[in-house]
Amino acid sequence: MSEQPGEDSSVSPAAATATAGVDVGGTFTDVVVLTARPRAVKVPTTPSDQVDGVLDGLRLGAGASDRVAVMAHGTTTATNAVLEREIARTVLVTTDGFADVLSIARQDRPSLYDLSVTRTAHLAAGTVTAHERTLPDGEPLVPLTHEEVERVVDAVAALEPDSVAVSLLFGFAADDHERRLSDALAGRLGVPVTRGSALLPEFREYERASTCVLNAAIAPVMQGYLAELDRRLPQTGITVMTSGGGTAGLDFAAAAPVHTLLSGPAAGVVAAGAVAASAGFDDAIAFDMGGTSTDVCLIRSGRPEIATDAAIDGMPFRTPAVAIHTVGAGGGSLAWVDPGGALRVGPRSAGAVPGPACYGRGGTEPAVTDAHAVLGHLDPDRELGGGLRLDVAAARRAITRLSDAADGAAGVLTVVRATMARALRRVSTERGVDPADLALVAYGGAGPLHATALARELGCAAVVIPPAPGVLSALGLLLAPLRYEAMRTVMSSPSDDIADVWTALEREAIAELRRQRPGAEPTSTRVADCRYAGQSHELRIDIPPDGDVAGAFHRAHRTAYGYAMTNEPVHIVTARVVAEADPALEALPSAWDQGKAGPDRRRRIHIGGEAVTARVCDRAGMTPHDAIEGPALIEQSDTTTLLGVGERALVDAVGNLVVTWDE
Amino acid sequence: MSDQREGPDGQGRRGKARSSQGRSSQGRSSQGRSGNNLSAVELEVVRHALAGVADEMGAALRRASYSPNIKERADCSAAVFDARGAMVAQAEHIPVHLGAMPASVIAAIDAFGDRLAPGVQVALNDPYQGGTHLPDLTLVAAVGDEDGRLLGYVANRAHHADVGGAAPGSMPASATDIAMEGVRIPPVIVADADGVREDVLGLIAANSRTPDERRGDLRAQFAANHVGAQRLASLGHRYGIEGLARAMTAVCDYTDRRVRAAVTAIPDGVYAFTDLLEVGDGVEIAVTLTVDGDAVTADFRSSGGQVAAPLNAVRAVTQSSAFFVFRMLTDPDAPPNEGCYRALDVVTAPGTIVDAAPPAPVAAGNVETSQRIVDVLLGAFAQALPERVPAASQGTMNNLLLGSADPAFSYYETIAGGEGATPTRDGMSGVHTGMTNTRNTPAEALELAYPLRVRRAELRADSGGQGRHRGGDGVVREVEVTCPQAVLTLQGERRWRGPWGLAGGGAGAAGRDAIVRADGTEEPVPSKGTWTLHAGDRVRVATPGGGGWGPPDEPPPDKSEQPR
Repeated sequence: MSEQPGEDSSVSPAAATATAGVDVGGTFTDVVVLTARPRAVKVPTTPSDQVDGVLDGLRLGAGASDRVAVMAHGTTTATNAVLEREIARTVLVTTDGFADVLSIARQDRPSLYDLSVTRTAHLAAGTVTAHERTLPDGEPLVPLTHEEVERVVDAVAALEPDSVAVSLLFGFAADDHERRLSDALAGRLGVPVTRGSALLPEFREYERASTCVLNAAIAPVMQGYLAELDRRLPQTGITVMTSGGGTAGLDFAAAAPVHTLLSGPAAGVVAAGAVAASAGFDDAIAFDMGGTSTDVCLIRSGRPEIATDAAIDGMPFRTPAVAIHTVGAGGGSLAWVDPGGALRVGPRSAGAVPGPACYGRGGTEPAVTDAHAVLGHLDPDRELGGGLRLDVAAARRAITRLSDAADGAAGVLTVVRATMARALRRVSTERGVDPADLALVAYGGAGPLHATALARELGCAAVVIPPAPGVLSALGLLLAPLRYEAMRTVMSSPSDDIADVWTALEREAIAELRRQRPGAEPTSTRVADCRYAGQSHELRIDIPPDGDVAGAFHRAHRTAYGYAMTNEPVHIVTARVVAEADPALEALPSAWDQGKAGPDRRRRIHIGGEAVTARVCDRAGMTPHDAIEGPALIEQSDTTTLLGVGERALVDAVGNLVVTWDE
Repeated sequence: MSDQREGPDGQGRRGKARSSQGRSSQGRSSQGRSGNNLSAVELEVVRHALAGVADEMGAALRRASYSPNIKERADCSAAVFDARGAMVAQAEHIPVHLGAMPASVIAAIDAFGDRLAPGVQVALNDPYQGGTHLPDLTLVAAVGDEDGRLLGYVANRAHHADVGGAAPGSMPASATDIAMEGVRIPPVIVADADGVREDVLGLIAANSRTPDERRGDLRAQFAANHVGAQRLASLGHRYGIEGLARAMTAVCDYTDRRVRAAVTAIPDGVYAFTDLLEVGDGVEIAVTLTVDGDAVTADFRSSGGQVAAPLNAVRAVTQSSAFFVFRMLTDPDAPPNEGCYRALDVVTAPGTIVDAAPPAPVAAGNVETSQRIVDVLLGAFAQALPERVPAASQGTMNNLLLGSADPAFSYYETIAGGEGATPTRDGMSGVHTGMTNTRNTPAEALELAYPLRVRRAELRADSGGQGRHRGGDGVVREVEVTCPQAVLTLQGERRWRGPWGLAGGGAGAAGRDAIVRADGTEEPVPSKGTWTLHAGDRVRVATPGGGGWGPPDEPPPDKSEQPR
């Protein structure tokens, strides 16, 4: 631990102040602490109360003498609440005639052929409709009377909700009705009220109602969690990661927790973007392969793609979210031969218990990790905790359980590669992006073992592996700016004067950030969702400095879809202003504290069906400009990087491993 | 097996993949089983590779398409075929395309033979030569290796919003022959070594009310085939021409093995079922299902004759419907390819409502009759698999069209209904079932775009059939016209009788349609027809509920299984 004060030390000369990123995952809570040298630790997540794990991690990472002045936080509280239905009793208030907006949804079924797959039950315990109606231009067709407000409040009160969502038809066009209902409900019931025109003033009634109900259902849970966190870390300024790749203040996250549904994964891709940029790649794919699933996300010009169709457990939410594509295969996924005679990997997983067979905790079915163990990719002397070591014999027994037709461990890896390659194509070639221009940024426990073979199959330019790939999300928390997006559906033409809207949105966004962080000096940018008249699909574009929205849209359309229709009128559907203030960390840290390095060694391993002798070295011993030729294994506490024959890794200035190869 | 095309004299035509080369599914499957042993690993890798080609084509099609119908509602699909025209992978978004794509490729090969060489592309929409209904336009491309040897074909299909005919949208309820439904395109070469034939494209576009949109969507279809051809050629490079052919066959054999394993579990026997299409005095759709070991024959020859209304289904639609049910009840997750339905023989008689002959109009055969074919097959399979088969779902797509010349607009929508209860759960409410899965138009999107107002979009309470497991509820959608005048067209089914229940479960409520005039008077209207509405008038469509399953007096054993 460093005795030197950190850069932003101001309180006490005796204790250094630290900045920490703390990302709570399903199994581990990852912590990155910045004092003199960046340092990463992992502690077990404490599911019954995540706060305990967070504090454990801070103690271990920062030590007793460091005061954590700033903490950026990624939390699964909101996500878990939804997935486990540990939610508040929620009532939706909507317009007469639309009581079943959540049930009908978009009327499609989740599986074309499989009768066992049904739609997810929505989260509202009840719905109350109000006799009122606003027209698309904001004019009231049926005004909301005072008596009707009283009647609605009575009806909602009778349902005894813990949280309420108000989402009326065309509430984004005029928010008077929603405001009056929300105020009356909050005043009478004393429970959180989520108002659609505040949370998501955007058209499409089902998606907005779904977003509002998700928010309302988790708001009390999130408020409780964040209040506890704040109480136990009184000296620490806390921000929370949002799905869109920014951070937000505590009270914003408490009131609008739907923004945090992809908190951890978003932080990972933010950091992946920074890692790629630091290695000289503007465009990249983030490849996060964990134990049970793998997340991939396209990064363009250093920024993660933003999704248009984010959903959790079948329920859409339209708050900004990074466009992560998830496949149900990871290091713990089990291999099996299906009745048709094909070798499959996943979706079943060995889980944390018993885990892969090589963990020696009683697992007998072959997992992907077992294949690596059999092929020598994992250190046979590796400590697994509790005095256990890797059980290669158990892994071998598990792999031979696959029928004779399977090509054993190498076959399992080949199938994983095919599965992953398809996922990577989904976010690259299927979006018209040539992988030859992309770097693959590999992280998560299993990513660096698979990355180079995958990148070569896809034809990527390089693989980049950050210094601490097991805690990249925690680092991303520190790199993400404080961010707020104000929006409003305007349905206008570029020639219309909507200067008032822009000004109002800018004022709202900057005021919100200053409220979240007094003294902040946010920058703001104008963004718009546009489309051609007659289309129903919007593209998000930055408003160019010259104000030529149509021109910018034609260019964006050409990039995204391969053509533009310059004679067609362009519509601005939704206007947005994004305000951002400084992140906790401006640039990637270097000179990580990786612990002690042992001497290089050699091991017989199998790669691509061939037995080779690989050089094995510790990541901790590698410094900028070091180079290593495959076949090789680079080991660190939470992951192993596998270099195949003909692959070269070079350590760059910030400590990334940049892997390239001869074609 | 020879091509059987006899008339409705008791004999019929059978099989799926038919061409001058005399292909037969039975012949190919036995050949496939003998000599294409790929390892378990190779099989999985090749399956991903071929599916990836179809996925990329489908993505390119939706990305590059112009009209919402393709981009948003995904009324399109893409597929890869081997050199003999057998489908080896498909990215399908709606079931009605499942069995219809192979018919298109076979028709293109039949029409041009060796002239359909690598680099050549064929377009078609003729329901009587490889199509299903005129708006669905298919583009087939032959793909070769570096030496110009044929590797296979890629094809994609998209629903075009207008291809001419008597009414906008090319689905006029009044059509009495196919000429009234739009431009009919038999297989025609649209691209060759010299590039795209602009003259032919011009002819197709000129026959639409929206020619620019047609060009935009056709361009997307060319782009999709371009992507598919490149990716298939690179697989050819990787595996070699023989290796690729072997891999393609192996993947189909693999699916066939999975499907037949499931078929073997269906008790042998002969099962028959009949249901009614609501046109004229009612037209019967009848199937006799024979399950014999690992194969099934579905014989529709005793179905009623074709009619002078758009409800006729061409044979490809009947095949698609049969393949849909077969896939649902055998192995829904097996890779979609020719192996999915080798074990199923569909027998029809030309001139019947399930195998219409020219010049019968067919626009609604694709959207309505297909749903009834699904129902009769489920009714027959329910006798063999009482513990698996669900009661009848709404069995219609409730087609609603509103439009006018001034202001110029055209709005088309299909409306969800109730799903039939299954032996293990309640039916879903307000959901598309059977041969479609297109999304609805949000009320806020609709009102921002058209002179219309959605007054109501709610579940239709208690419309699901009673039962131990209840049928799903239908939907009530009420749309008001806010411009001076608009023309309304409705095309629906299950208005005479509601969808049937199973195992003692009750029928779902029949659909009901009405026009509510501005002064409040309500006029019930039949499910098919055209009317004029004025400002303030509303159309109200109440869609059918799903059938129930099991006697209603027995409560379901476990409430937790029930969807809300």
